[in-house]
Amino acid sequence: MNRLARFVKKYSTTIIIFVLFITVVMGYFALQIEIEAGIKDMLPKDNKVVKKYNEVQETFGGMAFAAIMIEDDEIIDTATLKKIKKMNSDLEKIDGVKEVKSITNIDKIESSAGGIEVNNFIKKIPANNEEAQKIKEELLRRDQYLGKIVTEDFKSTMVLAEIKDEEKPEEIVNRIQSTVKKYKGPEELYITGSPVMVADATDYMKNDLKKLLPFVIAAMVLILYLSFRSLRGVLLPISAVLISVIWAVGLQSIIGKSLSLVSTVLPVLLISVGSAYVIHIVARYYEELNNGYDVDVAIDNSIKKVGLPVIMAGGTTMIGFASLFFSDLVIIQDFALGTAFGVGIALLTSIIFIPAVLHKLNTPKHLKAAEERVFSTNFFKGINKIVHYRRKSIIIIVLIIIALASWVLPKLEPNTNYIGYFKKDSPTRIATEKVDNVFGGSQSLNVVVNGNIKNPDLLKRMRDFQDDIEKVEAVNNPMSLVTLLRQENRALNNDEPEEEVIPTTKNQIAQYLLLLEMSDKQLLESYLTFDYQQSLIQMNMKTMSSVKQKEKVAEIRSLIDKHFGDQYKVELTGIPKLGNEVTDLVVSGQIKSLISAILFTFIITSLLLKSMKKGFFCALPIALTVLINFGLMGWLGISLDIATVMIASIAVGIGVDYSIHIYTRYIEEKEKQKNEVLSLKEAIFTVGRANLYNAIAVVAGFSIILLSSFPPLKTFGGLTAITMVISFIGALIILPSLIMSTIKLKNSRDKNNNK
Amino acid sequence: MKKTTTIIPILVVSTLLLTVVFSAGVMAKMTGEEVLDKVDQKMDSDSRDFILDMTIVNQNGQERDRKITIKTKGDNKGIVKFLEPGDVKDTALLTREKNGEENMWLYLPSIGNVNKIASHSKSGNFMGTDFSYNDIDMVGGSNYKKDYDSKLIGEEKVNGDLCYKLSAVPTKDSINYSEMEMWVRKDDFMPLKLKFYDKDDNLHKIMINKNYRNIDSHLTPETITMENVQKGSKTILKLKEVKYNVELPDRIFTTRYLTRN
Repeated sequence: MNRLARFVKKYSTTIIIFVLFITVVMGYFALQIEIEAGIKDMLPKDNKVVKKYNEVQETFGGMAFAAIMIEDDEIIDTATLKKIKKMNSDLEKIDGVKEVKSITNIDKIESSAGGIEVNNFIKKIPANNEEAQKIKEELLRRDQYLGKIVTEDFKSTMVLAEIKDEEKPEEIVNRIQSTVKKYKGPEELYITGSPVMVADATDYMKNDLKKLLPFVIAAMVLILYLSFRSLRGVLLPISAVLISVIWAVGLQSIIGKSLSLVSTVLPVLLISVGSAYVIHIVARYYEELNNGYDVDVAIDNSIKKVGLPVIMAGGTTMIGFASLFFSDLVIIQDFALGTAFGVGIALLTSIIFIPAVLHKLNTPKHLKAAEERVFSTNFFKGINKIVHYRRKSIIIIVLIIIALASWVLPKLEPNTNYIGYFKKDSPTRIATEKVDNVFGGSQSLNVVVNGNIKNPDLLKRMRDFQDDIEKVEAVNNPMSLVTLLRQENRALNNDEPEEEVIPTTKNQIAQYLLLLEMSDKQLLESYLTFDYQQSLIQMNMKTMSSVKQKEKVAEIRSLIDKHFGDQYKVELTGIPKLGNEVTDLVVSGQIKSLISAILFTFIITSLLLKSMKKGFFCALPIALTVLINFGLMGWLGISLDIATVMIASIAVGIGVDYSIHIYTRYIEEKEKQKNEVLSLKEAIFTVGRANLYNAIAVVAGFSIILLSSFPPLKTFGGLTAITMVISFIGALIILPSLIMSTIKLKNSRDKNNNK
Repeated sequence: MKKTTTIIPILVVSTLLLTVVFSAGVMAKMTGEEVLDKVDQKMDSDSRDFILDMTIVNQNGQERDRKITIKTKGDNKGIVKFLEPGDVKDTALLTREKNGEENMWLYLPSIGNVNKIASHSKSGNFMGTDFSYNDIDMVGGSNYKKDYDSKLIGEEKVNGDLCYKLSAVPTKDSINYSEMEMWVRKDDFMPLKLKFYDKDDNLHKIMINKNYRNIDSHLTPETITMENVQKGSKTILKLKEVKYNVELPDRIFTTRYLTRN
């Protein structure tokens, strides 16, 4: 630390220039950072489920749809149909849109003059009510469109725009949305589908970044001003944390990472967490000046005396964040990297850059930093009393809380459903729920059957499977070759409804396929690979909680096993399957990162304090905090998701600081005073105050995340703020109560022994 | 003396050069229409009976092999029948043109049914290949002059053969191209390369004819490749058995005859 202080003073100009230069470079890269909100972006690229999804997407396309639902008193009339047709052709012109299907151009396999044709279902927009009536009658006669593209009451219809698999689906979705907007009124329009949700989430993320950053900076300015009452005391810490934010985002950008749903909170988090370190340094600097030292000595003492605790606090926080790297979700790994790096930078700027700047500045005129505050003094007196006289009640309360929390632990449920990222009143959520209710689901689930489709046995199994799928609740509209071949057979047999059956011999299947191939090659290729070896069964699934969705997918899987057995390899994929994978990884990641966070913290504190027992004491309040966090989640019905999964590790990383500070001070005082009770009191009064300011800053920062547009992030902000308060209380009341109890226990044992 | 000896070869060379330039000049005076007329004449035949191997390659490089026979009579009757693979054997397509109206029927042996196919499929894919029905009409015999208005726009070499380069615009609505570019070998008026542009004037397909052989005094390409550059797929036709001016009775071009097989 001595050497560091000398180094800072000797090279202060170089340090300042170097840091500013790197900050400008990092700032340049930080501005280029991309934002990604897709489900696939959450998972590792080499994940098996992702690979399967990509394979199927490549083979059959058609997994990413923008679903536009149109609601009107009457869909099948001249005006509305004209409008839909125009919208359909406008959408088709959009760069990045592969195909658009609506009631105006949906395929119909029909018989014509004794033959078959694949045509548009509506060849001509009806000119009058009579013609419209005829179309309605035909729709009612063919159930293949009802409930899929138009409802039975003719009040709602769907327009499906297939989006090419590109890097930036958000831009395509934005173009679709602005095109669709032009057609609003008098009809109601709803737009959803997974690419739309991702695009909307990206928009919200951008807004969040713009909204939260000024708030957190304002809050920090206020806290800093109240602490230091000087321009310098505000500007220096703010610049230190901003530098850490710029470097962290810049690094993410340089190594090709993007900001995700969770890393939207990264700047807010770094600012509130990082400010603690610089506050400690600057406060000490003012304190030393107040004590009459000159700038040189003040800087020396700040680094020497506060440097080590700050490094310890920052180190454990870095470990807490870094432990999230054990998550299997890419977005959480990226978040771990960004925050751990950012905290490291905040740490370094606090103990190197800020002292270097202070070294260059003159002695400040106002020195009001380290005044006594009546309120906080009374506050700590109160705490000290509690520890002394109420410690038994405290321990009983803790035990009750442990029991209550453990009780609900098994009830904790993961829920990562994408729709949960939207507020209940957001247009995206309303549209999705609408489409789910009216058209039986907006998420597409895909079953790929391997085996030669010309084999009648396979086709029969596919038919039986598909018929069983129709009976599964919340899963709707299965579409496959079975559907096409049934329609073809009907068309070849005078359009008799009872002729909607599949061909039964190998040659018949081959020839039916050849006829389809000749009539509409594209239609066939959407459901069958070129070599006839892979067929696609596509179905819609309603949005539901992750647990239910998992059960539903399992139900479909068991139907697959029932119908295809071991004879055919059948794969299941789609957005719900990706969602399941995210859920699984959230849970496995939670366990791994939590265990590693607590373990590493225990090891680090044990090493630093050179005692396993002391390490255990420091880790105890934080383990309790984590338990209370999960207990709160259980009692409040909050589920584990991509954001709440991070709370435990963050709580460990940041929260343990309070215990470390209290415990180290207590040990230090004990060595000086040889009186354990007084030492404890001294620790509470001195370190407690620093802890309080630190906690206020961190709690304020996390509370600002409550303003986020994403419900999971709001919950995350609120819960993390609460856990910060709990770990503060844990360090200031529970830990001292425990220490006091051991002291009393030891004293009474000593007395007994003396007797 | 030395001078005269050098003059003679120079004279010979320049005379030869002049002849080439002159004759080229005469040929260049041909109009696009005349070139197309020549092509049609050269390829004209009362009837044809081909067996060909058809390989369809999709954008991922996967292949589908089929063997078909094509029989045509005049320019208004045609029948295509599948020989291989076995599961579609005898599936047949009959086309007849009457009073400028195209009619198509498909026979599926497995259900013993003859089905009429919509005539708008003319610009659609021929048997799921990269050829449209209009394109396939050009295989073996052609009606270029009737179907296209063409302009001679220059001369270019294709694989070492000097060709007329034509730009042609379709005269019929049923042809789904905005323009066709055609390279016709000067020696024998055989089309070597054709480029088709879609309605948005983007290059859509490229057709290449290779290895012309003289069969029954008709020059016939051994392979015809049609590449859809927009989709990345292609179809290769290998002409196996080729007969011209064979006796084909009218009755084989009827729907009744289709079902009898």
